[in-house]
Amino acid sequence: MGGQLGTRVAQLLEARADVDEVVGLDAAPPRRQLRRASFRHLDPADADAVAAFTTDVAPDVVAHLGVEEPHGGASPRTAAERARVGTEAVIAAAAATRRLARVVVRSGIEVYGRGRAHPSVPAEDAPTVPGSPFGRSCLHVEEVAFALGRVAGIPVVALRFAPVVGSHAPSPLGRLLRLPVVPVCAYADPPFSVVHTEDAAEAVVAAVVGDANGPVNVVGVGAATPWQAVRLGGRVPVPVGGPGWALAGALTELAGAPVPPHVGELLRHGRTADGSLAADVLGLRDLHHTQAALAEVFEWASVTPLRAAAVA
Amino acid sequence: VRTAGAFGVDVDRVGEPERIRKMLRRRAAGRFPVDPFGSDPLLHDAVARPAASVSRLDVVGGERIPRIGPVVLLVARRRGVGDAIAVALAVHTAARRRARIVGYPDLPVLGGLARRLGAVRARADDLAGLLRAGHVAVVAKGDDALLEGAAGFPVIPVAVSGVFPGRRRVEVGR
Repeated sequence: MGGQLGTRVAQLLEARADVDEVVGLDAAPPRRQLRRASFRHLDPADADAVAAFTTDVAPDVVAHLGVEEPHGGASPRTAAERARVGTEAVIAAAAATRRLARVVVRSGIEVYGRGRAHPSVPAEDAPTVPGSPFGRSCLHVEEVAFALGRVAGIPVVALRFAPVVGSHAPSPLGRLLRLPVVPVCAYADPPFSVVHTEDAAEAVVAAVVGDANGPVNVVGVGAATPWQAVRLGGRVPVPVGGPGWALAGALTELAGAPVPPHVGELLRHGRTADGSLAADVLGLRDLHHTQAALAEVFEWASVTPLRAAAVA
Repeated sequence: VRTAGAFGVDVDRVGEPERIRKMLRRRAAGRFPVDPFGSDPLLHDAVARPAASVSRLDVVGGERIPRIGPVVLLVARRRGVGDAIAVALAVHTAARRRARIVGYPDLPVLGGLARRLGAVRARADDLAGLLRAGHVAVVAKGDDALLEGAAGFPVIPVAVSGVFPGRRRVEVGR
């Protein structure tokens, strides 16, 4: 519940009359004020503490969003460890209380992989062959959740999000695009889609209170290309190819925006998926357009320092 | 059918021509629609409009191309990309829709340009996704494995006669 997405989901759940109690745990505190939700500060990688807390709470529904992107809010190793340990601990402990009726896990369209051997716009039934550590992490979380759901005989929804961006959501893609000079692929300009944080939060709430089951892609309308996304923010795209990526990666990391493998894959091979099922099973309509969501990423960049604002 | 939706630009139906200077300015600022298959509908129009006016095409039965919804136009002759382009231009003039050619060269720059102009890869799952999104697919060199992707969608056979610089005739079947 500590991330931008988790906090927003908690706020939306709080506002619903049909939700009795909202309880969250995370390694980071919530990012906004919560009114009736309670929160426990716990490291998701601490399996025993997580299991004990979950047993204590005995939830009816688990929404497991602790699948962070590498360099999103934590280092790649910590993010992967939290996803791996946290998923098993939370869902297994919740299932053992026998009250659990539904599980929702956060996954990503990174599970499909990209490139020649993969479909361009995969639907939910496409083979899952991730080509990046984050994709494998998402797939592992899904597999654990589906396996535990089968044993317990309860529905499990895996929300496969396109890269989640918003003006306040920390994401490696958003940070990269906000650099003044951004590396793009020299000989391809493949399409990618993103999903706005607000739409992602609404998808989680719809999955928690609805009756969906199985994997669902949650993808913003339309697409953009890396070159175009950089220009939408008024930044300068720099074409990079072959070994140039190693140098570009080192430079962006120095500039405070490391490029994890799944973002590199997005820049070189694109990343989209067919999001039409979400409209049917989650009732999600009027999602933000990819280019509108990207435009919001850039709005945050021009933060005016207080002193300069006072002078002006 | 999800055809409209990219900043008011209908990604399926041909739009009004735009002044070149205005178009270049918008392109430099990144303000143009792109669909999930990587097609740039306004660039498609900008190329298809002059190409359709200079190529000598006789279209027979153009009214049989549906004005909305998914359809596969299957070219009977297997002569490759020239026939597919002729059918795509026929769709542009007769039905005012942006046809999507299935199959493009897997080369660095040329492939990317073909994708921008609306081509998709020759894969059954990509063809199925294209049709689910409600587009017109032109299949010129289709084998059975590819056409599995068209299962459940209308397929119209198309005959092309004549060779490129000369006069060509595109006949739409039923």
